[in-house]
Amino acid sequence: MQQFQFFSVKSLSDALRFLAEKGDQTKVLAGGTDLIPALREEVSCPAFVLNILEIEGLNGVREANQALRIGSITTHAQLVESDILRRTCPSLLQAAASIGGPLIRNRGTIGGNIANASPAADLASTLLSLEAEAVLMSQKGTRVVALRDFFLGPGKTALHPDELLAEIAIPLPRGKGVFLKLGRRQAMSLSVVNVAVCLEMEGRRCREAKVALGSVAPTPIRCPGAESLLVNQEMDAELIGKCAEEAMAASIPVDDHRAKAWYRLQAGAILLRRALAQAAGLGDD
Amino acid sequence: MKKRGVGVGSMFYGLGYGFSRQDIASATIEVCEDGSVIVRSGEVDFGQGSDTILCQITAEELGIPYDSIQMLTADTLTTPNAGPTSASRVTYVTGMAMLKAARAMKKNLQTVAEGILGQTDLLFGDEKVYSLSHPEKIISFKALAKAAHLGGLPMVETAWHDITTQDVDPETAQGDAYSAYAYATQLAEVEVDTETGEVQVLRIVTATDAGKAINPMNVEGQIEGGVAMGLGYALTEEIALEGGRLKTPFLGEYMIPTSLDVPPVETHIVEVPVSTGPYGAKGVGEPASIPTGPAILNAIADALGVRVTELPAKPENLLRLIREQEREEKKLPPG
Repeated sequence: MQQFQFFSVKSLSDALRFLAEKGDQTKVLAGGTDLIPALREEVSCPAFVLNILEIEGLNGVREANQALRIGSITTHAQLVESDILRRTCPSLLQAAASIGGPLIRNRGTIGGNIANASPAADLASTLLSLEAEAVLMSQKGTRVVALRDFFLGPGKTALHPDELLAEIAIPLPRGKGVFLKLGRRQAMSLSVVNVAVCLEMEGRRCREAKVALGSVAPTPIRCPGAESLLVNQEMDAELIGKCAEEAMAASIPVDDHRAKAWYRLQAGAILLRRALAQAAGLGDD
Repeated sequence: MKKRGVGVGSMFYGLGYGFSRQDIASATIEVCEDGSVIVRSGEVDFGQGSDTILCQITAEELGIPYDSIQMLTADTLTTPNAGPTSASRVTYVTGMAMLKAARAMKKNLQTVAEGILGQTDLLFGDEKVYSLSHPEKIISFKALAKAAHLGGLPMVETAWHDITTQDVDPETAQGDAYSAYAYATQLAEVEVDTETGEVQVLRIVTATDAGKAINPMNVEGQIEGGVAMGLGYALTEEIALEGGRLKTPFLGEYMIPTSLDVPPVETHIVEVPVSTGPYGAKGVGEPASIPTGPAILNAIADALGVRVTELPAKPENLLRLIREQEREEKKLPPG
């Protein structure tokens, strides 16, 4: 591990002042489950590490004006235990519950999971399916970036060096969300592939559809082509199958030691079919 | 679709090193003047419970409480060589050395007690030594230890146990390579997702010949742990190499089963004593993990009708086999 200077701030304004001065040489610590291994392995060698975990204002899940606002240092464990999420966004709760194990969920945060921009991040695909926005703050002001424009590549985001990911904003979903993940074991496993959908149904007719995939492209992705197949259509197994095929055609998975690309495509299509069927109320298979 | 299957795995396993490779152990027992007992052995207890077993053997022989014995183990400065903790040999070999040392000590104490009590039919129990025919002839273990020290009899005994076998015939490879064999059978029940290739192990049932379970809960623990290891070996644990380079150098990428992956394990302990082990006991450590993989793979074959020949049986390998099988079936004419 290379040497770095460690700073802790207690207020958002102190954090933004620090980033305005030293942002380009700084890594933000928002839990550390990704950052600490990266520092150890010298994948990341910042001059400064800025701990934002003591900024109370960035913590917690709030509901206001038909939207959820989740502070960036809210832990996965808090998401799992949130009554607001259980009521309004159960798919995000499912995704949070699938991350790592209890120790990691107590430590890792939603902001860290998003800003780390792993293609396999479990919260990212769900947040994409919920049309979430990233609230980015700097001394210059606040930018709100749709999450689908936030991820630029593995580890790359739209965050400027002087900006802090302060909040995730989610418009209250009108439809039913489902998250499904295939890992290599039942816990403590990154996604081989994950899918998140949100369907607004009127009887068997789909009014709105959001489909997102994780671990099948350089970033978590939305699948507009697949979504458009569903909108204003009667949902049935055949349509769901077509939609899954269309979504996987939009993905560009890689071979790695976790799984081969062909397997990610096939398993992803199956998970997507199941998630769509569940969200449409057609049963699991 | 989800398909279920049941499979059986059976094994036998040579205890210790066999094939004329040196296999020795030793243990020392000391009875102090105040009646306290110290045991020394080079055996390493890295969690499997060998200190517990050696202590139980000593307590059993001398009729004293388990917690009155001080165990000094795995210290090259103060403990005699007992050989490695491996090959499921510790209870079987070192346990026997412990039993021999304890019995030698008991003999010395018996000689002293016979002189004091005037009886030869003596029993050691409840921290006392007493005559079977005249129970009123009794002396406490503590008083006996003091008398033995005053009487000048050896109150330190060391035993050496050697199970080194003959080698097999170099021409025919025939012969008795090991001094004893352990036996175990396991059943696995699995559910395979035929669309993703995921395998969920629903239940493992084990039957293990422990010879004599000196500590039944310990034996159960060894078997449950062994099953978890065998399950990882069958389904998830993999070392990926590329051009001779390790692609998975971190334990974070080495998928041992978590508590959510291990199914309920039912253990049945079978006791067929072996004359060469303490109280008939055999080793159970490695035998616990050996049948698990075969049982799981047989269960997968039972569920799918295809046989996995590459480990681990990860979802993508299974899905490939399932697809191949589907293609084969389509080639056949209908009816």
